[in-house]
Amino acid sequence: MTTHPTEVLYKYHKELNRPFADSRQMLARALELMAVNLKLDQACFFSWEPEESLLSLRLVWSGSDAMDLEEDIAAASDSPLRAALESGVICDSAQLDYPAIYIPLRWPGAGRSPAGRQPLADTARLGALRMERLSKSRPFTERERELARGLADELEQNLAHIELDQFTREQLGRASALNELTAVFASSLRMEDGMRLILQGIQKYFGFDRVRLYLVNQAERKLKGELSADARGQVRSLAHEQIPLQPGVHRFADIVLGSVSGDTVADKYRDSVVYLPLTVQGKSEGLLIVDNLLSQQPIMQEDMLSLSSFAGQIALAVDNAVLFDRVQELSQYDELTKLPVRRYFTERFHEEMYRAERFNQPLALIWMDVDFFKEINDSYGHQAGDVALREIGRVILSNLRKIDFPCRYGGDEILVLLPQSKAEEASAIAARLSREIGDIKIPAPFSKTEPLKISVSQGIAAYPGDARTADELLARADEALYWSKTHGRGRIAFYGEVFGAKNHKPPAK
Amino acid sequence: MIFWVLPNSGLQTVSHLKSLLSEFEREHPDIRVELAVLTRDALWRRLFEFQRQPRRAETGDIVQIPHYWTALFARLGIIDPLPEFTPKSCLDEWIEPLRPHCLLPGSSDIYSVPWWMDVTALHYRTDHMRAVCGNGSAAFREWDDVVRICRELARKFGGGNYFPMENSNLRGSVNLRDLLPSIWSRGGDIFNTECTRAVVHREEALRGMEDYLQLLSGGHMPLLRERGSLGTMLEGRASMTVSRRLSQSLLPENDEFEVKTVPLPGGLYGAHSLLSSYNLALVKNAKNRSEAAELLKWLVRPAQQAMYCRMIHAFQPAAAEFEQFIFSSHERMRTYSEIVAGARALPNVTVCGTYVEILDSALSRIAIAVARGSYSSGMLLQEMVKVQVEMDYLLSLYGE
Repeated sequence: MTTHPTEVLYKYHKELNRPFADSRQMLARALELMAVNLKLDQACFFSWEPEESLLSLRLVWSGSDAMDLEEDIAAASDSPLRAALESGVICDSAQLDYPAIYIPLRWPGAGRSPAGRQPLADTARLGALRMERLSKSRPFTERERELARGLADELEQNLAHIELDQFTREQLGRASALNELTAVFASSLRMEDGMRLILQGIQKYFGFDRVRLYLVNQAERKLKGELSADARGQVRSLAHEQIPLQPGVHRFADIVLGSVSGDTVADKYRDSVVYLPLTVQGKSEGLLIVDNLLSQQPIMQEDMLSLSSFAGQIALAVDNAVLFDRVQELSQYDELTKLPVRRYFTERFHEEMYRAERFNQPLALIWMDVDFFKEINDSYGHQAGDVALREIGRVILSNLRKIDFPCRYGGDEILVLLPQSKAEEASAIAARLSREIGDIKIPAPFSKTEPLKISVSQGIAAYPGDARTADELLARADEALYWSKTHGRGRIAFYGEVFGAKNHKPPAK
Repeated sequence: MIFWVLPNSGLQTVSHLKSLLSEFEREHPDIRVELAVLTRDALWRRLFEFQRQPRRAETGDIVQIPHYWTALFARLGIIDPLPEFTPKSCLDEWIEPLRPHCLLPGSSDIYSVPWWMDVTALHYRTDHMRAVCGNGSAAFREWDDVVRICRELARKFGGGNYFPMENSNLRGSVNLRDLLPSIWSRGGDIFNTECTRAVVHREEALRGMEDYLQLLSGGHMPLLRERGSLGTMLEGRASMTVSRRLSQSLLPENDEFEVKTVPLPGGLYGAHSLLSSYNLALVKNAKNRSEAAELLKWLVRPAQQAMYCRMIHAFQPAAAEFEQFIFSSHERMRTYSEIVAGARALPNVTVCGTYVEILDSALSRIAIAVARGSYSSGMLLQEMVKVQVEMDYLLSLYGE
């Protein structure tokens, strides 16, 4: 050694305090400088896990290059290496037959630890350096050992700084991600889009292997799968997953019900799966599950804490989306009959009309009116009228195809749009509706007489035979209904038959 | 352009690659290749980091991956398809078992191409063997035969830092790739035939693992020791090794002794060896894609492959070259035709990489227990049951 140790240490200090992209780059430079100043053939950096008694090689400087290589060394409890690592003193290798020394390292942890473990914020990180000279004739002198310790001390400080910097950068990244996520959550109004955005947002900013969302359905006492987003941000439905919300049936249900004692994370997956129950004002809304099972990378405690602190907001966003859908439903559906309202019908009617024209398909429309509805209300009260309408709504909804579209057009008037149906098919549906409505029995209030029975009059018009536009079709069905009402009620009238010049047949009774 | 490689030849990895790439840089003076040597764990972690933060995480443009990672990283969109290679134009060039490992399962898109490969075999010093077996030619029908010979070798050469069996595991530990041949030779496996269930906890798999682990627990092979202290055949501090590389790496320069290569011990289910290839792939949205593609094409040319395989004592994955190697001598043909007949590879299914990670973690805990003297068959069963439960769950999520 020709240079004074203090000078070496000063230059080394200056060199390590230059900016580095990450701790690996800084370590590579540190090992290189150690090799140069101490004339080493190899300089190695190990991490030390006392619980497992394992020294694991992380980086080697050999010749002129830094490399990640693998080497695990068991430091048994009675070995001199273990004693040195615990006491922090330099020791010679007991296994190598050339000069090699171990220098224990200890620096403050920057706070990162896997989600399932105790925080490391206040505990030290441990490691060791191994300095090697492959020639037996060049053992380490006391002075060289002192210099090695000095270089190791400086490295400890730099490791602490760079890891803290990295941690701070990550925290800042997390804070900015959370800000952006807030905006995502605030904008998530519609249920389906909302869930999708929430899951994609979490994936984008946290980058887990998978995020899954389950929502509580209190009416059915079930935890229902909603959506799952994978590492690529692709969203899939989990609608096939329905878990009874009872204790002991399924782990997810237990977590939502709060009947899992202690940590909510299964021990087996404690580092790579996090369960976040979603609650709003003490009410369980659902369960968010994030996992890194595919990559086997631990979910960091900081990520889990950030996500936990956001669980309330996520729950609120989910709740808002559910409420928004409910409001949508209320604005589109009639509360009493559960049939779509006129405004919603009009939108769909025009879409269906366009489709019928575009693809040259038939389209039929039934216009229905409850016979003597005013009299029912006047004689038996509005409650009886409401029951009649509710029952008619139920019958209609249970007798139509998925593509058919009914609506409460106003008062006791109901329309049924039948895409891809000709007048004959509409006739069969109208007859079935008429029959089933005729079977409805409404208890007559304040009366011991027989239950009240109801009937409907129906008018049918079809595109393209009876009309060429939506307005025309409505008008023709209305005219057919009028004919039906003025010819004895409880009848089904086809516009084409009652007003058509050709093929005139008596309307069906 | 950044080239992420595994430590293919240990401390010599960089010097070997620099020597190989000097010719490429001469041919392409405008392309500069920066090497980063990463361990398998570091590479796995970094590829996932890149997927999570594609803009922030630093990534290689061209990357070396074990063949069984292809399905996973192709599916996750971490590696790009290679339109430069089409199944029609090149798939037949590589030996048959490696072909599916270049593709995304269920498609004909090539995502990675074989660079080099290795095959497990047992190598021993004939001079040492002569001291315990008379004519120096040992036949290992079962793993118990290996253990018996190890005991005899230890009696003959024991003491100091001598171990009958050299540990060829880079970490100085034990991993799944070390155990697979003995698992297979007991009729066990890690997946069922359809790759829909994990079967690593079954008796035949456990017995196969124990066959190999007894070399460690019996003290016949060094475990978790300092690398420089591991006895090597070259130094005379070991007599045998189970290695996936060619025996040339074990030979002395002065012909002081000979090394013989034989198939691994079999059993009722025959002798098996692990065939692994190391493939090259391009990282998605690589900054220097065209340069990286140029390098990839150059590296898998037969001449360059041959040069690199000679340096690191590996095998060429091209069918023609591999055949040429086998038929280059009568002895080699006899040995390797038997080894190759029983060679199997890990399947190229999405969860295979994760499975190997989980199993290697479990085996790392087992290695620590062996080193501490606290290992038992019960512990092995317990660990493998945990692995099986976790894997069955993963297969239910990510099965093909």
